[in-house]
Amino acid sequence: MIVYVARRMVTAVFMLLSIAFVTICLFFGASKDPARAMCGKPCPPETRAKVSAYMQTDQSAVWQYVEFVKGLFVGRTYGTGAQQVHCPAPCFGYSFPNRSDVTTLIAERLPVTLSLALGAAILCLVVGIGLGALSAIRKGGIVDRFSTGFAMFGLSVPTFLVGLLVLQVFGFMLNALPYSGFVSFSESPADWAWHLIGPWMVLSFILAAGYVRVTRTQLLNELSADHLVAMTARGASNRQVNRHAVRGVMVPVAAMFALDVTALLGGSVIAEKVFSLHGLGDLLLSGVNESDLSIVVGVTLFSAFLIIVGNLVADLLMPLLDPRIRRA
Amino acid sequence: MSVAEIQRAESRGTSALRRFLRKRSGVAGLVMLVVPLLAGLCAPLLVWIEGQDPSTLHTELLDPDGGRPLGVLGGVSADHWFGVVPVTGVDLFAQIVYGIRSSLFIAFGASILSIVVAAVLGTAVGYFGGWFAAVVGRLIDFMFGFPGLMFVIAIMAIVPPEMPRGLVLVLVLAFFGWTVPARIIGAQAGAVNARAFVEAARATGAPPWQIIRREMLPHLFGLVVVLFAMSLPGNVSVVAGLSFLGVGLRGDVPDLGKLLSDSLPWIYSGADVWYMLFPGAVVFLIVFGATLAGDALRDVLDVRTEDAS
Repeated sequence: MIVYVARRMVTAVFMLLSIAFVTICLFFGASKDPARAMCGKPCPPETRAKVSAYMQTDQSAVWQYVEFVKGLFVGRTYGTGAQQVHCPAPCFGYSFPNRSDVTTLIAERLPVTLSLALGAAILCLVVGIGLGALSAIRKGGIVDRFSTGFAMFGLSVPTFLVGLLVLQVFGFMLNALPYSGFVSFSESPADWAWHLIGPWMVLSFILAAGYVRVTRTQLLNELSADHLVAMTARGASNRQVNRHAVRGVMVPVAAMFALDVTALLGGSVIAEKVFSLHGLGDLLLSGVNESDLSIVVGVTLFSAFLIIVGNLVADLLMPLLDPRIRRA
Repeated sequence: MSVAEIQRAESRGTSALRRFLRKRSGVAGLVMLVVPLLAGLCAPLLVWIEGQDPSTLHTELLDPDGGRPLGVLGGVSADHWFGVVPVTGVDLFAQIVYGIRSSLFIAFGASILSIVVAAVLGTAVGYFGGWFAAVVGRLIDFMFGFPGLMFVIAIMAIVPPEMPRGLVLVLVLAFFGWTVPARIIGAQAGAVNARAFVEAARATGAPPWQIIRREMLPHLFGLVVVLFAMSLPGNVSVVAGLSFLGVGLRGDVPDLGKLLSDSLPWIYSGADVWYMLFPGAVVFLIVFGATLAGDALRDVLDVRTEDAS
C-alpha cells in the first residue's frame, strides 16, 4: 500500500515536471521575442536586448525551464538595483505588462474557477449518478428513456451553445437568474450560489451525461453478476443487494471523474466567457489577447497542476474503493 | 458452407448499411449531418441562388439607431433567407454556409488525422505488445496531464501570423485527439492478436505485415470507423468553441463560432436574438446529427468502445 502511494506520487511529480518542460520549451522556444512587445516603438536593438535580459527571455529554453522550476520553490528575482522585481515562491512567472507576479493574478481568479468547477462537479455527480442508477433499476421505464435522451443530448451539444441558451432563456426571457457577475462566498453564500446557478447548470449538464451512461451500464452489469443473483436467491433484500452493487459502480465513476477534471477546467473557460466571469479561463484569454506569454504559460501550467493533483487524489481513493488494487 | 451462408458473408457490407437505415435515430442523425455538409460544399451555388454574397454590406436594412436589423426574425426575407448581421448588414445565410465549410473542413481533417494515428499506433500496440505497448501507454497517460482546451488556446496564441491557422488547428486537435482512440484500438487489437486464427497464421510463418493486414485489420475496421464517427462531433464543437473564444480562425473567413461570439452582445441587450439562433441551430444540427449517426453506427457494427483501462 505504501509502495502504491509512493509510486503514484513520484509519477505525479514526474508528470508535472515533464509537462512543464514541454510547455516552456514550446512557448519560449517557438514564440516571437516577448521583449519586443514590452520595449515599445521605436525599439532599437540595444534597448530590446536590455529588456530581453531584464525579462530573462534571452536565455535558452532549458535554462528558462530550470529557472521556472526553481522559482516555484524559492522565488525569482528579475533585474537589479532600482528596477529589481521579486516574484516570491511559488512563482509561476512575472507578468511585466501587468506589473504583477502571475501567482497573484492566479490567486485573484482562482476562487471564481474553483467555485464554478466544484459546484458543477457536485451537481453533475449527483444528477449523473442519480439518473443513471434510477434508469438501471427501472430499466426501460420513463426515467430510463428520458435519461438516455438526456445523455445523448449532453454528450453532443457544445458547452457554449448550452451556455448561450441558458443565458437567453433564464437570464433574459424569464429574468429568473443573474446573467453575469460573481459574489465571493465569504461575502454572501446565498448570493454566491445565486450567481453561479446558471454556469453550474451549463457545466454539469454537459458532464453529467457521461456519468448517466457509465452508472447505468455498470449497475446493470453488477446487478446481473453471479454473486448478486446468488444473494437475491438466498433472500437478501433489494436494499442489501443494491448496497453491494454500488461498490462495483464507484470505481469506474471515480476513474472517469479523474479524467473529467480536464473537461471541467476547459468547460469553465467557456462558461466564464458566456457568463462574463473573471476566472482562470478569462485570465488565460486576456494573456492571449495581450500576447503576455508569462500569463499564458503560468495559467497553463497551473491548470496542469490542478489536473494532475485531481488525478492523484482519484488514484489514492481507488484502493479505498477497491480492495483488489490495495492488494496488488 | 451453404450458398445462403456465402451470400450472407459476401453482403456483410450491404447488410450493415441496411441495418443502419433501419435505425430511425441513425438516419435522422445522418440527415442532420449531411444537409449542412452539402450546404457547406455547395456554398457558392446556394449563395448564388439566394442572390447574395458573404461580404456585401446592406446597411439600408438596419435600424439607423443602434444597427439592429429591421423586420421580423432578424430581417428574414425572400432576399435574405436567414436575415442580416447587425451593424454590418452582411447576409447571414451566406456567412453561415461559408462558415460550415471552414468549420467542417477543419473538424474532418483533425478527425481523420487523429484516427489514422490512433489506428497505426493501436494496431502496433496490439501486435507487438510488451515494452512498446508500455511506452505508448505511458505516453497516453502523459497526454492526459495536459490541460486540454486551455493548452490548445495557449498554442493558438503563439501561432505565427504567417502560418495558416486552419492547418494549425487540424494538427493541434489531432495531437490531442489520438489518445483515447489509440487506447481503445490497442486493447481491441491485443484481444484479436491473442485469438487462434492469428496464432495459426503465425504458425504458418506469415510475416508480421501480412498478419496485421489480413488477419487483424479486418477485425478492427468497424471499430476504427465508429471511433472516427464519434470523434467528429467533438472536433466540430471544439473548432466552433475556439472561434467563440476568439482564438480560432481569424481575419475575414466566415466561421460559425465567430458568428456566435459576435452575437453575444446582441443577446445581452436582447436586441437581436436571431443572430445567435441561426448559426447556433446549424452547429447544433451538425454536432447532434454526427453523435446520433455515430451511436447508430456503433450499434450496427456491434463494437464496444468503452475504454479498456
